[in-house]
Amino acid sequence: MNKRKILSSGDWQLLSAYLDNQLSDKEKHQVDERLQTDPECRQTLELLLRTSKLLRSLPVRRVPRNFTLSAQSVQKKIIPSFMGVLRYSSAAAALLLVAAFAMDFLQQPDLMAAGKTVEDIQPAAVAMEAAKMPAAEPPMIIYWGAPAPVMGLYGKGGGGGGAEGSGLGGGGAVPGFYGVGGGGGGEPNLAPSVESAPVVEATPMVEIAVPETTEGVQPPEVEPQVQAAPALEPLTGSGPVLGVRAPEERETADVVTEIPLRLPTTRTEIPFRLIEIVLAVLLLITAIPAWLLKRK
Amino acid sequence: MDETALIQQAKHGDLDAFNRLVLAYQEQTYNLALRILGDDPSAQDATQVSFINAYQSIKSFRGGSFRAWILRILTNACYDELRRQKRTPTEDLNPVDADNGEELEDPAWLNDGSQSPEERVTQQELEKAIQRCLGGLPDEFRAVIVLVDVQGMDYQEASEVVKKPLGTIRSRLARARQRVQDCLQNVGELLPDKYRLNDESRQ
Repeated sequence: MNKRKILSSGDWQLLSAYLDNQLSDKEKHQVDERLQTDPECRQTLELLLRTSKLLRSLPVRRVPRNFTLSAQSVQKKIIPSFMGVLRYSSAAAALLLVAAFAMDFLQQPDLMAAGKTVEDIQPAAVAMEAAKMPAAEPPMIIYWGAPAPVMGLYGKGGGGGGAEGSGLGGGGAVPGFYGVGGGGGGEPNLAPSVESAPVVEATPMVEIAVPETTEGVQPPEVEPQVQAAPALEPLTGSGPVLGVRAPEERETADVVTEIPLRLPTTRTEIPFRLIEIVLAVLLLITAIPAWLLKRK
Repeated sequence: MDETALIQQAKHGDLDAFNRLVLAYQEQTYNLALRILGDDPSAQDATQVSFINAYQSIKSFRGGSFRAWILRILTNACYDELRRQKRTPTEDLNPVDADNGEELEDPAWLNDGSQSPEERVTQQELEKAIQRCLGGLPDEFRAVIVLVDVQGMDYQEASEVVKKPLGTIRSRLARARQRVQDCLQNVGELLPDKYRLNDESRQ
């Protein structure tokens, strides 16, 4: 047992390799010198040699049968390949589910903030819409940074309201900006149901990107109404313009300030929930059989 | 026919050619599996699976030592089997003596007819002791010591089998030998005198 305290693991490696003649000439010379002066080292080498000989004395077993292959045995089995598909599918579903949760989670702060804004502004917005939105008005388009829609990098929205008074509006975009637009046409008497209409809330983006110039370009008669809504206070800064309308269209600018407030609600909640549910079901459908097959 | 030609034919789907390679390597393959896994049924399964896998992937063989290539496939199959055994431990199905609870003799095909009964018993005791000590090693250490000390490979070929550098082979082998030596010293009293490692028994 003393030798264990004396010899390091490096010494053991040297002696083991020395036994197999796997040392360089220099290493071999060092070991030879040490073996002449160190009895513990010699004893360890002797024990290693005996251990190695014992292991080599293990008999070679005859094979119990031939392991030659038949044509049937080499056909690729369906179950393993099917299992591979299941495993990869479940892994992909899990990753996508995590991504969906993450994206959903990241949307939450905006959603909550936007919800608060909606609550605050809703009475005024509904009143404005009921009072000012003409029947079958064409969808609102948000312009900013340019007097007219320009083909941009991004565009969201689409569709339009019909006689039922709800619908998603089309959005134009300006290079370098997101364009989230919308406008739902509808009968004025359906305006109170505007909360359920999908034409909503681009405010968070608007508040961040275009607070400054809104004030400057907004028609004077519109601005007081916008400021009356608490949630729209950030819009009163300087920055890009939400939209510039011809004088005859100015009354629709009110809707511009109200429309963005509800868009995230419809855009984020329903698709993410559906995606998460579908992915979770897919994950269960693929992971459970894969796990059961693996256990076999 | 030489090995290279058989490999080329097997690459073109000639199963008979591949089976001739199987016959050439099945004993070494089976014995390696037996020493790594420690029991015959698992060794047979791993051997069969590794030959099937080898045939199905023989087009990926790019030359070099075919023995090292086939033993690498087998070693991986053994690792898979060991992981599976750790997940789902099974009871030993070998027949057990009702009186003393010990395993009965190995199957007839395992017996070497050239040995006397005493020699056979002695050899079996030694083999059990060694196998028990090998079984106590980490899987990676066990594979290396079996390849070098039991199968007689050099370091270079062992490194090709386990796909590790020579330095890793050297260190793993040294540590495996150290552990097996300690283990065999502990069970030395159970071994015949000529197999004991301690000096006193050899005087």
